[in-house]
Amino acid sequence: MSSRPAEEKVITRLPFNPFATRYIRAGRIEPLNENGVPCNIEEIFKRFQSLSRYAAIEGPHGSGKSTLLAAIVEHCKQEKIFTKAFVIRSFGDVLQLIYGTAFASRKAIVCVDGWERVGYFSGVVMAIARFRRCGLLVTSHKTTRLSQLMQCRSNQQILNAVVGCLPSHGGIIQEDDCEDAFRKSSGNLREALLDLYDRFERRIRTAKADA
Amino acid sequence: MSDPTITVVFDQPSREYAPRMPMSAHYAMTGVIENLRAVEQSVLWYTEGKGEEDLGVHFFQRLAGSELLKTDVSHGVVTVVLPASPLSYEGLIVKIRWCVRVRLFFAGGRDFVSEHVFDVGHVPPARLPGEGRT
Repeated sequence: MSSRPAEEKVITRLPFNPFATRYIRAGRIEPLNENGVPCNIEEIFKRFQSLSRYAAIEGPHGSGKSTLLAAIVEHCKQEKIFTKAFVIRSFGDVLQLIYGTAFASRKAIVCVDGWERVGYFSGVVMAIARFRRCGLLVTSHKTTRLSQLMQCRSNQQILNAVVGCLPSHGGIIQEDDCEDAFRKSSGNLREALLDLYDRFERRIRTAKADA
Repeated sequence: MSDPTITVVFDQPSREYAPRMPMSAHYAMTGVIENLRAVEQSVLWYTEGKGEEDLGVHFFQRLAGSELLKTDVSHGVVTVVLPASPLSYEGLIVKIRWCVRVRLFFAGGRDFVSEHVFDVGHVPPARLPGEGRT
């Protein structure tokens, strides 16, 4: 049973943009494998446990690392496994991560999105996590010293599948647009979706002006 | 488990309100609403677009526990006086939307959110760069 909220149709003056952050952020989209099929989170989590609960999700920017991490955190919630999630954007976040790991319980899993930004302190966090015997699951677009849980990759098929999972765009976005957006963003799915956001905005306004 | 359906009828059929105007919305639930643990009704604005999201809650009410048993939660009315701002806006990069949100919490941690958008003010949608220039 999913605790992710289901949503009904939203009525707006202009058609709502299905590529807005609201619909594409990590936790809203299901993580997909290279064939565009939803990942088996339970299996991935079992693998994480087999890696002594110290692992990294690696891959380039916009390849679905944060989305996968969010899905694992959600899975843990459902399984009543305590997680402490951190998104690293600034040095203040690093301090919060160190503090949070120092006080994490033995059964908890510390989840870190943006591990490469922890920099020099990554060794400190790993040492604290080992001392506290809590789990550590991170995302990074660089190679880490942790075991690799999964290497995320992007391809056209995944982008098409993601677009198919989003609320309907009403035929405003064509397959050519997806291909063009993927090519322009050099395989970064997040950037490709934001490119589609712009195309959608342009077209609904042009259509309204024409009408 | 199938999701319930929540319909909302606004006192202004156009769903357009002026700032500081009273707004009333009647909601009704149909479908499976067994094992309901709490109902939250709120009137809020949120931003939608390419960047980080923001929101502001103007009105919030939660019915849970004994209060939930005493009340017929299958329908209800949300009445508020809207604030002066922010006004609804259809920008290119960011939009501001006002909505009536009804959130249902079920046993087992499942929840269901239903949002019904309305407009505050009459700010025209943003134009494309270069549009309308001579």
